[in-house]
Amino acid sequence: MQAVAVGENKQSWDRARAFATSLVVATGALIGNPATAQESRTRTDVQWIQAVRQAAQRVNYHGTVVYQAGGEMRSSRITHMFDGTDSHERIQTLDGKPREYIRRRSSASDQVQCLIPETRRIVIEHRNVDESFPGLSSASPEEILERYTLKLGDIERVAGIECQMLTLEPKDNARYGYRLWVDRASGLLLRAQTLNERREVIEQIAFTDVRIGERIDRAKLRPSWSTEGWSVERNDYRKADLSQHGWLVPAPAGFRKTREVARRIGGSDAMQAVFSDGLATVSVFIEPHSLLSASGAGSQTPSGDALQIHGPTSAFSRRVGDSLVTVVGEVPPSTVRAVASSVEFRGAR
Amino acid sequence: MKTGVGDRMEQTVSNQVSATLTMERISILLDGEMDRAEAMATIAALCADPALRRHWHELHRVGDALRSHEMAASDSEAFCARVAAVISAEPPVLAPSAVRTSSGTRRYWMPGLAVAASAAAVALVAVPLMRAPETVSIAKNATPAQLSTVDVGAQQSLPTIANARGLNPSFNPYLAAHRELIGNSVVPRAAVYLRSAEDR
Repeated sequence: MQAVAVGENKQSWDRARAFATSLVVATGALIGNPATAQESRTRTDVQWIQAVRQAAQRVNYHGTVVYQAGGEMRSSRITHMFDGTDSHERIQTLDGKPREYIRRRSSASDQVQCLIPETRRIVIEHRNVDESFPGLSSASPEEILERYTLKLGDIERVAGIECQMLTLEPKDNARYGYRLWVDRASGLLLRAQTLNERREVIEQIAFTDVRIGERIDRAKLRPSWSTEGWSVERNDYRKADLSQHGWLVPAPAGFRKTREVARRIGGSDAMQAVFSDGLATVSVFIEPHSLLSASGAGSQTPSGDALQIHGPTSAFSRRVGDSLVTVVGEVPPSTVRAVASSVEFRGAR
Repeated sequence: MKTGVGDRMEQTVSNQVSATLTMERISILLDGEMDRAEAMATIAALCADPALRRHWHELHRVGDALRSHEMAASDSEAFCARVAAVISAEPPVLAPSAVRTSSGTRRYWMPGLAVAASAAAVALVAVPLMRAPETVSIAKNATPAQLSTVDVGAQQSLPTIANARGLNPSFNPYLAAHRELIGNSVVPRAAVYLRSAEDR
């Protein structure tokens, strides 16, 4: 009886695997032959954004990436594989402390394990896609184009591959601009720059070498270290309604609220509201009464009215009564400041 | 003093970049698309640098067509000595007269060479990008005569806005929490992790 059940399972597994393989082969064929792929010349603005997004999830690639921001530079190796349903990714840092990020993303969830070898820890970041506001975790291309103007630039080579350069110019000063270099054949983003209002590059990520559309051995997606006996930490959070706690957190102009959660931050209770414009994200953290009790994050907490800028990331803290409000985002400093000052406490209902 | 991205790119000079440029210029020289001053500068660089001369040799091995008498001559000590004499007699022009980009319409007269040369360029272009801090400091000391223009955007220096060592560590828990809930964006997810690679 049991043997039959196992046989059936195996059969369905084989079918699933055959299906996955055919999907991968189909994807590969699509990439391998640019003529059958969407002709890059005829892509509309919306289709360019869709192509970039889809490629990031569905294209197999393996290569070295260099990241630069605020005078710092880091390189890492990235391996990405799409198995027909889920995407698997492994990022290994090559500079500084060794870190690995093992990501698995399906239609329902997105989990990243951050491996920290020196303290033998795994920090699990888990995002339940269903839990987010409907369809907001990734804004539609049309929404992005409401905030940014897309312009086609020159054909330029990145990591030996001919790319279409695209610029996304912000329509106001609340957000940064972007330059993207997209592989014309696969739609994979090979280089991206974040630009400030003076059009200076404040952040850059680029492949220096990459192989696209090849079969990826699953062994290449496994961590470098045996993680047996490592401690596992989970960043837990749950849905929350900030207005029920008396907090009014208006969305910055051109951003939409995508999350409201309750969680722990640096040892104290906090609420977090997340806003996105499809490209940039702003988080608002509220730690109620954290400035009253010494049991809060204490010296670990920013003291209030402090602006920090690093590369594209701006952070601003402000006291509201006995609570601390901290705004973090990949937006200009003026935006985090404005968001922080718009937060109001109206008293618990 | 504010300079645009383009200006900064022009000011960026390093040994790696020079090597890349010269190799690229050797290809242009071979194509016969170089004016006299530029050709002189390239040949001078070639004579001065054993590594480039090896590269020159390798290019020659690529195909028989390249083994002509005139080409081989550039490697001889006598030829280099003559070049040195001519160079010392007139002011060196090390900056190319026109900006040439790797994606230009240059016509290679030998496909094998084109492949070899572009492969070398790709390998070397990656190096300056990975040594950006050095590149910046060298650029500060560079004199105008040493400056060369090349449109390899990857090697441009980035402005240090503030706090090059990262945000105040007290912000790290917020950064991690923020990062976790960033949705799927056009900007690659990897950037999100690399932004705060050492925050734990």
